[in-house]
Amino acid sequence: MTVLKNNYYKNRLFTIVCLLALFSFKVTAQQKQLISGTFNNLNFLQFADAIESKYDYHLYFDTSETNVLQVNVNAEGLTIQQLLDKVLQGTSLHYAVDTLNRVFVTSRFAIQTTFPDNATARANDSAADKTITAEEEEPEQQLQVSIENKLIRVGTGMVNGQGNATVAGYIRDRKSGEPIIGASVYLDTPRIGANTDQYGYFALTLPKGYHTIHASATGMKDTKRQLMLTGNGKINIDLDEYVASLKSVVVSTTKANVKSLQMGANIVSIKTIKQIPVVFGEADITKAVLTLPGVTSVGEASNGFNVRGGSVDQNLILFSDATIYNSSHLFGFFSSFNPDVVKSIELYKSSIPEKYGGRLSSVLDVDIKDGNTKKWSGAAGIGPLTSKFYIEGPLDKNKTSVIASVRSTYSDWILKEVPKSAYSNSTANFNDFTLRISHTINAKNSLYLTGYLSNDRFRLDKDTLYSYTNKNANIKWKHIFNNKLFMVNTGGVDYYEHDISSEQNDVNGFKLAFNIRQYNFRSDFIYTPNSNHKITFGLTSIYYKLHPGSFTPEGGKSLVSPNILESEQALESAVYLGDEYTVSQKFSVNAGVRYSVYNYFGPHSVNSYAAGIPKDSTTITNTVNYASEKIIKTYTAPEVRLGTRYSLSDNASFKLSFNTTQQFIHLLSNTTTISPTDIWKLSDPNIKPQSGYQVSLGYYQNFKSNTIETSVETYYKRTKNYLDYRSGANLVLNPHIETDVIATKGEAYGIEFLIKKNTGRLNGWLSYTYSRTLLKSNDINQGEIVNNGAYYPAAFDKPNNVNFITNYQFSHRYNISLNVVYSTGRPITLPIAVFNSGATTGLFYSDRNAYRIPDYFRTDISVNIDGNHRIHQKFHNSWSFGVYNLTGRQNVYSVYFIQQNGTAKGYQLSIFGTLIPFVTYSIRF
Amino acid sequence: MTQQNILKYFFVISISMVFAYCVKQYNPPVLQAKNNYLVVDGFINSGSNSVTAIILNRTRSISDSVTATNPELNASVQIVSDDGSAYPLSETGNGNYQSAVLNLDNSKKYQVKITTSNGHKYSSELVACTKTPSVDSLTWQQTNGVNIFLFAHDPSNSTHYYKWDYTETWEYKSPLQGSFVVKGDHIFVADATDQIDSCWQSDLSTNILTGSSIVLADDVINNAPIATIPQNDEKIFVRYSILVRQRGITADAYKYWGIVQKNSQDRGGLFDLQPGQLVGNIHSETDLTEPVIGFINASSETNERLFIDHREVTDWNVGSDTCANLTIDQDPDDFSHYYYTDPDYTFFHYVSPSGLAIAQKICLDCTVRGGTNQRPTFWR
Repeated sequence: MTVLKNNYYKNRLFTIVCLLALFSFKVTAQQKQLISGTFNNLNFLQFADAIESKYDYHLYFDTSETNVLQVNVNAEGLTIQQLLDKVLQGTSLHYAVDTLNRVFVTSRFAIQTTFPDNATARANDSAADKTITAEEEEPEQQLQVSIENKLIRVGTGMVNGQGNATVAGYIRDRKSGEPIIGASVYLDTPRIGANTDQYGYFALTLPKGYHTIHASATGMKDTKRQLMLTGNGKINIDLDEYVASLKSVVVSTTKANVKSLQMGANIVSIKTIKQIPVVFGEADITKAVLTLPGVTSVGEASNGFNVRGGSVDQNLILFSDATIYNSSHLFGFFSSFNPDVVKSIELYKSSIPEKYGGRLSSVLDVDIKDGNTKKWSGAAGIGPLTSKFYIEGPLDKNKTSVIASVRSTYSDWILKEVPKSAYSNSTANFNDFTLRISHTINAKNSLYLTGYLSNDRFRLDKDTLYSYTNKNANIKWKHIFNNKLFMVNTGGVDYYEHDISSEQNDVNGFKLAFNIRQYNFRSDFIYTPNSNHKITFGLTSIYYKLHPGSFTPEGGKSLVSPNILESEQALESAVYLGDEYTVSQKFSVNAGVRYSVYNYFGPHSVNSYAAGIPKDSTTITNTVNYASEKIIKTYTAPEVRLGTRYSLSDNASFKLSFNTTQQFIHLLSNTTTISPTDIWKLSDPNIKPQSGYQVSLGYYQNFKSNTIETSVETYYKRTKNYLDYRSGANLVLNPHIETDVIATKGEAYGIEFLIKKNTGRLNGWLSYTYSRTLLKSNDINQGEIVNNGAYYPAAFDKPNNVNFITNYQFSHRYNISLNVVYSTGRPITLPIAVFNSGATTGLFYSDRNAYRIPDYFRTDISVNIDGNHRIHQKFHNSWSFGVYNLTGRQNVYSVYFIQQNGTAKGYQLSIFGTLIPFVTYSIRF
Repeated sequence: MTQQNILKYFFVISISMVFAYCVKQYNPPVLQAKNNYLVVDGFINSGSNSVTAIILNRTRSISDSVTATNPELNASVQIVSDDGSAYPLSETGNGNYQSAVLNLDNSKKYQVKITTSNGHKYSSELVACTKTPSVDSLTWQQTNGVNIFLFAHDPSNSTHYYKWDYTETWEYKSPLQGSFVVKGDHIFVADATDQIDSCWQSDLSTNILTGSSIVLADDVINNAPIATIPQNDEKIFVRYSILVRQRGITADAYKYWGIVQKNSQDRGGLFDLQPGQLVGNIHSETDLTEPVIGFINASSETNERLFIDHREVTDWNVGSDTCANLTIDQDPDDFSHYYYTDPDYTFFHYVSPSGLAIAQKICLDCTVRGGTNQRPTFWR
């Protein structure tokens, strides 16, 4: 029996007292009248009459609840309890027998655990024949109990109809009206369930009849609904936030890792992200991703991340379906997403849904909040480098909501304040803006409008100014055809540009610029014919327009002669079809195919090269100028996405996946991190698309009623046509990149261990990854045989990685977070000797990537202090204090050599040469 | 301190820490190791009546502050043909080894075998002899300085890959032209052997020059850029000459030299280059893992010389040196004696009635700047 809170039961005190009395006498004071007889084809009223006429029992019930029932029972010397057990078997009805032989039959409460609420009993009468959409508007506490015990009738059919029906709806946060992604909706028996999609939408196909469906989501209180399913219908469920319980700082989605079909997918809630201490105390999405097993970066302050031995350009980063080409600020110190507007992030690293394509390694799906549909709220944060502000609220209550955020640095001002420094001529600033408007047209149609802008400008004591910009906008229209089928159409524009300019020397003033623009359209359908199948299909198309480089004079006196490379155009289209098929409770399969078509078209001039020898500027045999819109080259490829899950028990499962992927766009980078000088290159007749496959096997087991999750995943990957660079490659303003790159064969494998505790005062995770990424170039026609044609480590090959993230809650207001990171240093090629050949002095280099920079180790700690926890106060404030790189270790970021007068001196650069304290203040309203 | 000031101070400190990133010397054991790998320079000269010269050096560790070459002495070097006949090279000092005048049979393959003084044995791969076509012509053009180009063709269509190196020689004059020379403390009238007005300086090419005709239907080299003389460079103040030597090489050697060229460029800065891996055709027989630097081809060598006179170039500003001269008293009885002791100065001319005009040596004696006052035999 649950503990009751007096305040909301006061007005029902009488009922409670009665019931308590009733329960306490239930077992001890029953008279044994035995009942015999045949009760065939009776409705409950007739059955009650029959009992009352023969025996000393009085039955109390509501006919609207019991008319569902058809009684067919043969009784021979049964107690009333035994008889009622038989009669009510398989229904939602409960009974109680008191000392006065009064029998209460009711559906409104579960005798053993909860209490009845007779206030709403009649509500269903009038609605019995309509589709009920349960909009839950009552005060939360009261509602929680009442609605959970209310029998909700869904559908218009006959009460005792046969067959299946589909119930669908949205799961939302009651407080903000925000849809909840990845919430699970399920029946206990039979085990049928679904997860909500990115709109909080779910659809469940169930046998008609009575069901209790449960809904749960990370960080929310579990709830359930009792349904009488008579036909297709809707139910919207609101969940309450788990506010105060220390035991559930992060509540797991129920057994998500074991039960979900997805493998190698990591969902990180924004709450967890905010607990990870990071430099400057800014919650950071990329840094959170980097703590997941199988994800590494080449160093701090490096843009991007490497997933399972993939390069940084092999990750598709989607911000509400907008492709973000550079996801970091200030050369990687910050991620470019304002965490305040982020709802959740999901990283797919092995079984990538067939819906996604175009990148080899992973998909990072960052989802934006829809905005509070109920009331206006917001937050402001002040940190040592940045300030941010966001606001969300209803423009039109329950119909239109908006969320907007702005974040900016004041580092320019700080740089000027640094006394007598070399930095007074420096500037470093960035800002980003996010806007999301969600509009519900009607129950079947919704629109989502998203805009994103980020800017970076950076000059560090040199005259060269770097800047880069992301601009993204898209609109989504979600249409529900019926409970089984819905569609989302997305159209948008993504833009990324960077430039480097210098005006210090009048005559040499220049601007070196790159940009890429893509127009994309996609149409995604989800069809749920029954609870065993979830079919997804759709098409997607991206038109690329890329300007690989322009070098133009900057400033009036510049004599620089302009050099503008031809633009590149391509269209990448794909259709896909997939099915998530639950074969049995233990076994399920996810099978998908995707067929991509890539067209590279004019206007562009393309070189042909002599066959059988390396491509070189001296081996160009012909150059053809293609006219506008003329298709120059088409690549097509089928992709397969396969995943299976086999449950060994409720707490353990095996998953196996096989994936093939294609990538038509390449990042050209002559540093190991993404830098603002890197350019993207579309596949063309001379540069083939990257392709690869991955096999992955995982074992998942949960302990202590799912509070401890463990997993082991292994993978093996092969890639083709990943670009490495020839000796002395020149990538900037090079009109024939193919003469400077090597298309390599790649091999990657690894094993990832994760142990994660989701609940309790102490929570967090520990992961260890062993992984290798090897490349091979043994075809001289690719330009160069590297390391005698043997496999060599890729520049981001870091075999050992350990991440330890933990958070300990001292009290509601105080918690402490600790973060420990270790990884093997990344490989480098070292000059190991100086030689003279004739009058030439040169450096003799080791084999490619034969050595490694020192290992990486870092510890961060932060203490987070919340203001008081009264829920109804206007402003909540919080402080975060911490130290980044507690041990002060000078982790090596890069090694470089300065060559002069026949000698070369090596230097190592550490970005953070010491420990860095930080403090952040934020206020929420 | 007000609270605002404290905050500001804190911000300033944290930002300076961030940007005061730390740069330290990087010197892991592998860079401190000796790394004295053998460097073999030269080629097997398969031309008739030709001398093969091989230079043996050792690499230096990159942390070495000494930049002098590190010659490999007392090695035994020989050319060996595929039928086993051997032609020894004799050491001529400073790591140089020279063969006798040879007429190698061009139908055979050859390799170089080396045994160093520590007993390690090295050998180059057997290579066929390449017959190098002659250089058709050298031309030059004046655009942003003088650019020199080479033309060649191989009628037998078999060379395809070319390597060039050159020796530049230029004549220059002392800013002050005298007709005397001081030897000891005596003044002499200068003649062709001891004049100090005109000097000739020579330089070897420091760039690796290669070219290829592989994509062309004919084996033709047109306009291969060889050298550039910056506008107003001293090299063409008087007269300039370049001797370009041409050799046919193999495709592998062509690649090898391409990487040497890239590895000799300075690196650093924004656009770091991918370091090049040098794989030559010389291997250690003693220790298979020991790196050896060098690529030995067998070929004949042809050459061509070009002269450019100051009168042929336009707007080539010679510039003006400030060369003051001063007059000192001279013993009127002994005009041939020079007593002035400052070693930076020397005699310029006589001043009547009894003085000597002297000037800085650098203004009068062209040999001070490193050239020779001996007119080269090829000079015309």
